[in-house]
Amino acid sequence: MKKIFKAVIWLHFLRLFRYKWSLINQALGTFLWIIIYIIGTSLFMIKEEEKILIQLFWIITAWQYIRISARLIGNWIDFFTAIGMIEEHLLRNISPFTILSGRVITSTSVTVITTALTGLIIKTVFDVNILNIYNPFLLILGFFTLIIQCIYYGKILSILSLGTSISYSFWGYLNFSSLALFVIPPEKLMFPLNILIVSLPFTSSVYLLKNGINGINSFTLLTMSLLFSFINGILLKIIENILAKKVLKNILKNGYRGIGYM
Amino acid sequence: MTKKNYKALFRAGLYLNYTFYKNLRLEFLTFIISPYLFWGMILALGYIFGSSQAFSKKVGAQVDPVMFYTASVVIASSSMNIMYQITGSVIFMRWSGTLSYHILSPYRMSTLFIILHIPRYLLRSTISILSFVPPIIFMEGLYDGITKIAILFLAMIVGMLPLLGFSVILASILLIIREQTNVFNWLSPLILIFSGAYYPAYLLPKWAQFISKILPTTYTLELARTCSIIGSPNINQIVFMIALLLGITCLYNGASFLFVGKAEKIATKHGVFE
Repeated sequence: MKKIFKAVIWLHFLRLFRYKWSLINQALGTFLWIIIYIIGTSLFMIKEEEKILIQLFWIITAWQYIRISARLIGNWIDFFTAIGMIEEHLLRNISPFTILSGRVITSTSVTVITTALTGLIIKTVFDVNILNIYNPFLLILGFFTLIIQCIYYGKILSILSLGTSISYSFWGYLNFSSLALFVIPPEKLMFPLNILIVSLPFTSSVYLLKNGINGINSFTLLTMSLLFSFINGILLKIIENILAKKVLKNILKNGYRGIGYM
Repeated sequence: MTKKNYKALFRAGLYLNYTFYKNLRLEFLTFIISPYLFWGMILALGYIFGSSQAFSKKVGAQVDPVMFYTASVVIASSSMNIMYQITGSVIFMRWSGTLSYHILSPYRMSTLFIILHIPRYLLRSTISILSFVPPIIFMEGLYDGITKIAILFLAMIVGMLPLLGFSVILASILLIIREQTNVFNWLSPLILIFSGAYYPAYLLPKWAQFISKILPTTYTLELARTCSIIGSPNINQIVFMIALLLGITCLYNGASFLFVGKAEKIATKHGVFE
């Protein structure tokens, strides 16, 4: 298993350099979508406030990371299917879902390039420093836990699309609802709704990130979000494992329908 | 090639898409939901972090932000759809190994790209406009609502023509470069920014306004946005923009024929990279 992971990581790094134009394309595309949302929202503001822009930037970046993971991990199964690699891996007794883990290299690379580019543009256009935040450690911790959740989320989307023959995009659209939860301030909600919000997957990590930007509002909610950020990662991993086993068993028993899948 | 052949191609495209949606019903549902999600998201962010008064002040006109973004999202999603579909189809054909067959078929690639994608564009864009019928009728009333939906349909149909040629030019470049994904995906949001899809083009810097003037989507969006202005739409302005779009159509489609011809020659000479 260790050898397989080593190969997966090595091959994904190789792909990253081989398909450098695809990487630049992804990063530029994501950067431009973030800019679209930011300038679209700024149209509703009389004067762009620094604090609001910084918060908006990090929330949209976190949400875009979820979308990128859904697309780069979830959508990659379309490519894998089209070139007939599912069967090739099954014949060699390697789960095609293990290969997907390497996609985190691509999604993280895209996010890093995108964040740097967007930060630069915001600094130039609005004269706002996106790194002017309260606690960088909380921001990094929020992103770290978000990345872990996103790996399993992307894999779950791939497994679901393989198991149900429904393209990843349908499942991927469900993450739109998460953005609405990101902008809700949980400290203004009543118990137990505030706990529920900070305990949900992704929202828990984004709450950590928001505390890193604006400062700590409630230690109880911060502790809960920290705890649930890790619990959610583990839960998503368990769900991914169960689904992968079930779908693989089904594919090995009934065969795999690659034609008409997309 | 006779006229009948084009008809058959169009029918094939229509049948392909009909069966696609028939068999993948949840995909169909996704097409209905997705424009709503973009629309809801940008409006929700706007109202949470700002206000409609600030919006009118910045835009500098009596504009309803809800109708403004309805028109923007409908046209933006239709335009993106046509660009993604045509350019993306080259990549997908390459993945599945059918690109060689398309190149060897008696039809020219540009003809295949354009005619096979017209039904898909019309079907998808119609779905996206129809999905907005209930909120438009609810906000504008029956008579005004129908007028505004008609303007959106008009913008969608006329706006499609230059975009077909534009997308085929991009597809022909993809034919000759060796990449696994559509490396022009970033162009769609860039075009949307310069066209003023989510931020009016006249508020952009001067150099960006110049770029926006040569893009077909700018005029399609302006045409669609006449329905967001509170009051009756200006007929002269609508006619002028339709004429402008038809002119741009001739320019882009003419160029696309030349580009694809060259790309086909290169692909046939050097072999298609699978």
